[in-house]
Amino acid sequence: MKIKTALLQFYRLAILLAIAWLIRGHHDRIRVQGGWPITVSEVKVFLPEAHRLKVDSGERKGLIVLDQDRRQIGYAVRTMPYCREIVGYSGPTDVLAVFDAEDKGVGIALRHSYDTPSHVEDVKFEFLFMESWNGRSWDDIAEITDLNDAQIYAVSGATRTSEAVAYSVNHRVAMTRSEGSAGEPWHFGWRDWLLCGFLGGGLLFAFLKQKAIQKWRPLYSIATILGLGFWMGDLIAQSLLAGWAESRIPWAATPGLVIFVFAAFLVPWFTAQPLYCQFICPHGNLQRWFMKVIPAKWKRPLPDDGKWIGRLVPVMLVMVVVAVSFLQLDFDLAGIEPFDAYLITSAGVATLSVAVVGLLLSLFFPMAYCKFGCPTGWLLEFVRKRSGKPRFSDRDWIGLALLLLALGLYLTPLDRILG
Amino acid sequence: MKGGSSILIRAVGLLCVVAVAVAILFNPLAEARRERRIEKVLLSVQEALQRYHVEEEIYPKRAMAGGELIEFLQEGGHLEERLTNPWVGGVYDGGNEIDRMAYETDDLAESYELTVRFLHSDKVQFRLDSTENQSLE
Repeated sequence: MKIKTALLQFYRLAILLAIAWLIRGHHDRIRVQGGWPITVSEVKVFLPEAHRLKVDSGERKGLIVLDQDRRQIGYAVRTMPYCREIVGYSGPTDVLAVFDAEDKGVGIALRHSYDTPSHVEDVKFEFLFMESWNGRSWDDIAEITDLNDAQIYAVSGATRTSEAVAYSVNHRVAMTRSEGSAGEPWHFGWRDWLLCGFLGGGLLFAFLKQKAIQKWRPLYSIATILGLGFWMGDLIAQSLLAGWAESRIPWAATPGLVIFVFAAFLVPWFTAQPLYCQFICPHGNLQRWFMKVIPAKWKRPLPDDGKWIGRLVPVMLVMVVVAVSFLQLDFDLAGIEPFDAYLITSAGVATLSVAVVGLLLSLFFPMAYCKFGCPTGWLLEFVRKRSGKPRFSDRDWIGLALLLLALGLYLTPLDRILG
Repeated sequence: MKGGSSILIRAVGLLCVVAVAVAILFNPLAEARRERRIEKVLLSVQEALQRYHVEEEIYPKRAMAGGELIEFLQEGGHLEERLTNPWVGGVYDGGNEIDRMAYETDDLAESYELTVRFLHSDKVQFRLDSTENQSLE
């Protein structure tokens, strides 16, 4: 029984982590490959054994070239979009630079160009120039400051175009050095302390049930609404989670928020206690106050079918979030939840509408938004440990469906969907 | 009977939820697809303008709407492909009802600017020119 419970819990967490990993992988691929992805066949010209390209999300931001046995046989980078400022006669050129396993250049190719086509052709067929990088190591190329000193000579008749190509390769390789790996300094500011304070308060009320402590809960609830909500605006939302999954978790910049979000997922996962939804969430707390002040006769029971349909809404919204993230749609995820509405001065119409409608509905159907509208709450509830006999519930099947959706979007080239 | 009605209600509810998801995604998805089509058109026109410039040593001398420019470049043999109007579909030429692309040049026709405005506003969505914005990446 305990093993089954543990396995189910690991399954639930693994589903969320796998979806986040796929989103990250997809966005790393877009960051590295840009709008004009390098294909294996392009690399095969220089490394005939190339079989697969693996995105390197490290500082080089290129592609690891693997052979059929998944051994690294080289490395490939493209110069665009990083070198878009390096312009030849009339535009930049996207250059593919390929290195072997020893990090030595094996060739470059002009992939596409915004430069004058005839000049680009001239450069493409000037083999002496095109082979100038062969045999030079990544570090040697990065150190080039003067093309002539490095014995890389511009192509006669296409001087500016060829120089732009040379400087693009040089700049693309050198940029990994200048960006460095020192990273952002770790900073734990007052907002982080406050968030940890709110988290501590939530933990206190969730786990210590003594009257002497619980009597302070209404005060804490008001503090979350006014402090965490209206003042700080630090509510856990899909836009935040999707942003972290797409780029990175800001450990150094906002460590308090990272701890806060991790606790919101891991405490219910470990203990079954819905820490964030039940105790901390300002919007949940606001609805709880509505429940207290509204006369009981206003409240309406929702029929079972209504509940069944209502529970589909958060799932649908999570699916929308996954689709928006993978397809990079121009759609503000903050608009599907009410949380941004707490920052009233900057809130958009959509988030304000969701907040107002959700609160109005909660006048008649207690906690309506939490139960039938909140995609973030659905995710937190998805990982929460359940009491009773462990079983693979509908929720777990939905989790699997979400993972399959993410996998499908990850494996489908964007061009196939967006044309 | 009640069970049957419940299934029907739930099926209708499910359809409504799916419809809401489609409604949420439809416009952003359509916009993303249109953006891709616009980018392809812009790149083809940019390439054709470069060919024109190599031959004539200047860019086309007068300001034109996108369709008109495309016809002009096709007539001169600088643009061989048949481009599709990204807003209305069909052949992109001077007769299109909706054409948000515009071509401009300076007095000496030494530089050019291609702009695409949003469908429902005058804000510039894309800009390609010969001086500062030479790529869409």
